[in-house]
Parts: sequence; structure tokens; C-alpha cells
Amino acid sequence: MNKRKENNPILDIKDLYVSYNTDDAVVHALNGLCLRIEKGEVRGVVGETGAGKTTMALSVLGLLPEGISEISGGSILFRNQELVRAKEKLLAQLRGKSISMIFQDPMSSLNPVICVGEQIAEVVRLHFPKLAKDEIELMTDEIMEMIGIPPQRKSEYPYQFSGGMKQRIVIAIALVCEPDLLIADEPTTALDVTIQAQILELMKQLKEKLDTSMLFITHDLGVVAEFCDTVSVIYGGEVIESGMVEQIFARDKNHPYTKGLFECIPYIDSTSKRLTPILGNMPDPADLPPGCSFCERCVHAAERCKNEKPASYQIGGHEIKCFLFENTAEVGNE
Amino acid sequence: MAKKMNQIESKKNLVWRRFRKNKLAIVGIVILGLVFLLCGTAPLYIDYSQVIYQDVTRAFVAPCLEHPFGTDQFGRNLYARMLYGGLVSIGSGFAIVTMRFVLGLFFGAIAGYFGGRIDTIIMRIMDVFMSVPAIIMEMVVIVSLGQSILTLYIALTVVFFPAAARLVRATILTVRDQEFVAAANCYGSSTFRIICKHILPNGIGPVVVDAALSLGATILAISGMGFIGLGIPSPTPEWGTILAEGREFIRYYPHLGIIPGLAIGICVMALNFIGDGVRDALDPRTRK
Amino acid sequence: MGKYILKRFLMIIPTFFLTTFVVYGMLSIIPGNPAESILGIYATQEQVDALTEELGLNQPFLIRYVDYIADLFRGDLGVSWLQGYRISDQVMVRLPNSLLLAFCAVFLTVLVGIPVGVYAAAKQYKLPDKISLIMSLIFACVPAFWLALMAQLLFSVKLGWLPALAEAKYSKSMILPVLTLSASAIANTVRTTRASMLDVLGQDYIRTARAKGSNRVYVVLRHALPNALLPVVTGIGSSFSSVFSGAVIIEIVFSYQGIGSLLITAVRGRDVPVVMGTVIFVALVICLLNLLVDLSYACIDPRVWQRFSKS
Repeated sequence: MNKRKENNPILDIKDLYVSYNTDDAVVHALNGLCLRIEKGEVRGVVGETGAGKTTMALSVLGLLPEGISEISGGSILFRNQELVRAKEKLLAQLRGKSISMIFQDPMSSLNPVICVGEQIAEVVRLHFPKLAKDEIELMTDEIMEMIGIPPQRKSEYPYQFSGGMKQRIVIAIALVCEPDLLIADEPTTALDVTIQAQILELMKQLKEKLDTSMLFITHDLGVVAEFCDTVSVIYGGEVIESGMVEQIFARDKNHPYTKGLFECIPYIDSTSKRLTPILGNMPDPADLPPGCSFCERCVHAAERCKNEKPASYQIGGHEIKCFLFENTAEVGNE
Repeated sequence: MAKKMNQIESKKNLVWRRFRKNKLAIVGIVILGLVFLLCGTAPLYIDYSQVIYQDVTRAFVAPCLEHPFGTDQFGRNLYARMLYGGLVSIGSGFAIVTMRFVLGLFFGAIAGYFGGRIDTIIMRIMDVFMSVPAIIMEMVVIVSLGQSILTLYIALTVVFFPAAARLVRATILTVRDQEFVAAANCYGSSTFRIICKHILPNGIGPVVVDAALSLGATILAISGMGFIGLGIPSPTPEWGTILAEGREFIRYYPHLGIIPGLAIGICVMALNFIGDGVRDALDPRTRK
Repeated sequence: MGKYILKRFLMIIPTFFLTTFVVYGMLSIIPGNPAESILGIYATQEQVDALTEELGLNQPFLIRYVDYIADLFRGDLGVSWLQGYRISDQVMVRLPNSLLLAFCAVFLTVLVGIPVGVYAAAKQYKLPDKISLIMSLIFACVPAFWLALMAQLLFSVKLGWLPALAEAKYSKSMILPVLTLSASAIANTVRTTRASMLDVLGQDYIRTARAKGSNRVYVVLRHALPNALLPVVTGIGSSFSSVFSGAVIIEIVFSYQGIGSLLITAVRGRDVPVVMGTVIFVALVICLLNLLVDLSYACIDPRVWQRFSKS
């Protein structure tokens, strides 16, 4: 988990700006998002609903809804290949084979009228058209065994499987071609806690076996602690804190938002009677404030925060976008 | 209590606002408004006698200032006939849709609320009406009861109310099992009250939309029957019968055929725009 | 599979009998004695009584009904009150003609309506979509018989390309009737297919399919279409009834030898047995067709088996 090759990231998102043009207003979903994943790394991405996590994931694969969305700036480099405004043909070649994605709701992610074996085999056939039929079948069987579903169930339909098993099938589809990068968008949110543990365990095993880098999106800090190597915290369409799991979970130096997130979690041994939420709401993405996006809800907010955007300050691999840490570190690369 | 009133009010406003945004629906309302205006005010400045006044010497006149739509084979003023015909066609449409709505509501509510045997019997009979093609069933009714305006209304109501009943029943089934009905039962509401105060207001939406949308289809059905000679008896003007009467002459006097058909088409189109607009306003999910 | 077919087939039978019962009942409501209307006002009481006896009109309703059904199974639909011909002869010749017309129209609907609907959904809000919507609107709103008249006027009289009247089956003269009959069904199919496709294209599994690296056309045809077809098939199945209704009128316009003119003459003259016989056969055909539609549903959607095995 610590095999990182510096300066050769598999995924490098720089200053990404994405907006949606709806009937009512222009929604700025991503505002200068920066994120980096090295080979073999599992990076967790944490944020509230609406922070921009799914938008970021869809942007990588070029799957943003057409017509209404727009990448207005920045770059996404995958193995040094630019993905923003890349040709559809190139992106289609990468999807499923080099970069895979699994989505949140397993109940609706599988086509109801095609049997599961065929849905897995389809990915293989798309990217390895020269493979013989029995070779493809072999690969399908292998991956099904890996995810713990007997290959005899190949010809069954999604409605015959439970939620947890459907998610396993989704994972199988994503990993059968052994991609370099797996983007998992809240893969366990829709599942029971016990199934969640199983799925995470499965993903850990697969990660070991196939050495896949992962972008793991979640809103559950517990899962991040257990599963990820590094974390990026997203708020208002930008990464406001990023670093190794140990650094962030040490809780000695955190962005006020991250601090608030930690304090939201109730602890069994605490004696306080009330929960401590973060007061207020996320800023309206159609009407973002000029300064720091968190300043309205921040207890440390100063006059400066309202008008000036903080840069990302580095403290030995741990980056925080807050003026509080301006003096303790050198300015990091954006 | 006051808060509840406000909530209902704002839903109506919301629906109205969404409807207003729909350009096609507004176009529909404008067109329909014009038609209503023309046909509705007709009795004021065109006497009914003009509709049936025959002057064979002035037969087959092409559209001109004196006769904006020309005249037919009997020299009757087509414009007058069309305006009064509009009253008849559209008025009949409204009457039939209302009768259908009431019957559908009645039978659908009974079937839906009481369930069991009553439901099965009613639905079986509805199935019968729906398994025979509409025109054929209409003919059966007209054969039994003779040909008149009333029997035409009955025929068209009988043929189409099962679909409405089915819709009402489905809506009631969905609403009936929801918890607030059980709650109402618990505090002693009578069956009738429950139906009126709880079930109907919640279920009525799709039914009203269906009724509105079906007005266009009804007018088409009325004119269809008129065209084959089983509709509203002459000399009462009706767009379908007007088209039938002019049919043999359209080769040389196309205005006799083009005008009635165009009128029907435009009205139905306007009604469809409005119906779609109402449906989208009530349930915006169906768009995009 | 076989069990499912048998079960559905058995379900039609009670509906069919109930239909015959209801229709027979409705046709028996006729006020006055039909024998009187047939013989005219100058008939004597004896003649009326004799005819009443002959036609079996003085027997109780249920006995008449049972007799009729018994005759039906022997293939005897009775005799026309007005013209004395054997009804089954006429029905056997004319009904297949009407069915042919209706089938051709439905066939055309599927052939044209579905691809256009799919294309319109794929190019949503762009020009092809807008054009197809406008065309559907026009064809769905104007009366079919008017369209038929105008088509006759334009293509036969003015341009002389096609015959105005349908003389022979399987010939060029069928083109206009089939086209005008199917116009409104095509329009509705385009709208339904488009709506269903758009709905399916917004589903999560389409996103999954794209995330696998399939190109757009493949996603639309392989993943979206099978799911989108489900409501469309239902729509087409139920459209057969209205296509048939339309056929009755269109036949009049083109003088096509179907059951349309048979029925209309019978209704005008209150020739009850003719109406009864025709309605029965039409009802039977429609019932069988609905069965076929249900079965085809089972082929497309594997979830139907789940519901079937549960019940």
C-alpha cells in the first residue's frame, strides 16, 4: 500500500471547472478541482451530497450528460493522456478496459433483460474482439468465481439476484478486463451494513490480486479509514483538504470543514447529549461566493475569507486550503 | 388549517405556472379560444335559418366575401353551417366526455373501493366493451336504440367509459391502501366520506387529464360516425356529416371537403396541445 | 412456456362468451317487434305472427341465446333479415379482407413507427426530432377519413399515380387505403417509442453500458431498444382495435369489399343477425390477437416469467 512511484501519477486532474447549463441558471459544479492518484494507490474522496464527487467521476470518463454540461477549464491526464475534449473513440477504448467505473445503485445498474453472464462477457468482447468464444467464457467464469458467485448462474437475470450480489456483478463487469484505474462512486451506500463489509472485503482482495488503483468516492469517513491510502475532501466543487489517511485522521491539523465532519460522528463513549452538526448549508452552486466557499459556516472565518480565495497550503504531503495554515507551510502546487 | 389551505393553493399555482410555460399548450388555448369565440357568438349574428336555407341557384359557389366558405350542393352557406356545426360537434364532445367521466367515476370507484366480487363483475363487463372495436360497439348500440342524437351520445359514452372506469379503479386501488385511509377509518369516518374526502381528491388527477385528452378523440369519433351516416341526423349541421355530404363533389369543389376536415384537425390538435400541457404540468417527470 | 400459453388461452374463453352474451343482450333490447319493421306497415297481423314464429322471436331470451350459440358452433350465423343471404357466407369473404387491410396497416406501423421513434429519441431536440413530432401531431389529429379523401384527391384525381378505388387485393390499389389507415397509428407509435426510448436512455444501466466502452449506436440498439419496446408492444397491440375501427370507415372511402359496408347497411336497416354475426367474429379475432400480444411480451421481457411463476 505504500508502493508509490512519485511524479508518475496514473490520474492527474488539474484545475477542473465543470458547469451545468440548466433552464434556470448556470450551476458551477466543479471549481478548480485538483486531484492526483499514483499507481497502486487507493484514494478516498469524501464530501457531502452535491459537493461535486459524481460530477468529477463522470468527467474523467467523459460521461457527463450531453448538451447541458460543459468542461469549461482544466485538464484530466490519464497516464499522461489528455482526456478533456478527447475524441469519443479514444474515450470508448479506455472505458471498461483501462478505466472502469461502478455506480451507486446496484438495483438499477444492470440491464434487466440481458442475462448477467452476457453483461460481463460483453465488456471482454468489446475490448478484445479477437478472443475466441470459449476464452471469453473462461474469463467470465474466472471473474465470477472471484466475486463469489457460482458461474452456473451466468444465464440468470438481474432480478434473480439480491442487492449485494448485483453489486458484485457490477464489480465483476468493472474488473474483468483488469483496468488500471477503478472509479467507485459510493459503491456501498445503497447496501446493508453487513453486505457493505462483504463488498469492501471483496474489493480489498481484488485490489491485492489485480493491483488496481482506485478512486473511491464515499461520504462515510469510517470506510475511508478502513479502506483507503489517501483522502481528498471535496467541498463546493473543489478539494479543500488532501493527504494520507494517517495525516488527516490524526486530527491535529485539519480544514475547519473536515474538523466539523469528524465532530458530526457520534462516539459511543462521549457524554454529550446533543450531536454537533455543521451549521448552515452548502453554498448554492449557481451563486458561489467570491471568497472561500466554506466561510459562511466556518467558526474561524475572518474578513479576508469572504473576499479572497485561499491557496492550497502544503505541510509535508498534507494539503489544506485554508488561511489558518498559511504560515505553517509553503504554498503547494495547484 | 390555514397552513393546509396555503399548501393546496400553492400547488395549484405551481401547476398553473408550469402550464403557462408550455408554449404549445398556450397556442392550443388560443386556437380553441378563437374557435369557441367564432362558434359561440355565431347565433348572435347568423340566424339558424341560414344554416338550412337552400338556394340551388347559388350552389357550389367558391369561397368569397359573401360566403366566406362558399356554398354546398344545396346552396347552403357553408360558413354558417360550419359555425353551427362547430357548436354541435364540440358541444356533443363535451357532453359525451362528461357523461363518460361521471359513469367512469361511478363504476370505477365502486369497483375499486369495494373490491372482491363486485370488482370482478364490473371489470369483466368493462373488458367486454373494450374487446370489441369501438366503431363496431357503437353500431351495436345504434342498431338497438335507433338513430338519434341521444343514441349517438349513449353509444359513444358506452364504448369509452370502461377505459375511464379502469383508470379510476386503478387510482383508487393505489390510494386506498395508503395509510391515511386506514387512519381515517380508525377515527370513524363513514365509507362514503372516506371516498369523497380522501380518495377522490387524490385520485382525480390522472382521470381529469384523461378526460381532457379524450375530448379530441371524442370529436374525431363523432365526426367519424357522422361521415358514415350514423351520426347526428340531418339537417343538424355537424362537421362529420358536412364532410360526408360534400364528399361526392370534392373532385370539382374541393372546398367542400378541405374545410370541414381541416376544422376538425385544428380543433383536435389544439385540444391535444392543451391536454399534453395539463398532463405535463401535473407531472413534470414525464418530460425530457 | 407451454403452460403459460395454455393458461392465457383458457382465459379468453370466458371473456369471449361474456362478450357474446352482452352483445346479444344489447341487440335484443330493440323496442318493438322486428318482424313488424321487416314486413313493413302494410303487413297483416297474421304475417307478423308467422314471421315472429319463424324467426323464433317469441321465445324467452336465454333460449334464443343458447340456440344462437349452438348454431354458431355449427358455423351457422343465420340469415339476413333484409336480404335473405346466408350471413356466414358474407362474413367469411369480407372479414378476411378487412383483416388484411388492418394487418397491413399494423405492419406498416411497426416498420415505420418504431425506427422513426428511435431515431427521434436519439436526436432529441434536434431537427429530425422536431420534424417527426410535427408530422405525428398532424397525422394523429386529422380524421383518417379526411386524410383518405385528400389522398384520393391528390394522388388519384390530380396526379393520377394511384387508383382511387380498391379493386383487387394485393395490388397497387391497396396502397392508399393502407397508408391513410396507418397514418394515425404510426403517429402514435412514433410518440410512444420516442417517449419510451427517452425514458430508458435516462436509466442507470445505460450509463453502465456506456461506461463499458460501447459506442452510442450499440448502446441504443442492444441495451435501450429491448427495454423501450415493452410499452410500445402493448401500444401496438391495443392499436389493432382502433385500426380495425378505422378500417371500417376507410373501406367506405375506397369502396373496399370488407365488412365496413356490410355493417353500415345492416345498421341502417336494423338487420340484427348481420350485425350480431359480424360482431361475434370480430370479437373472436381481437381476443386471439390480444393473446398473441401478451405472449410476445413474454418473449421480450424475462421478468414476465417471474410474475407468472409467482401467480
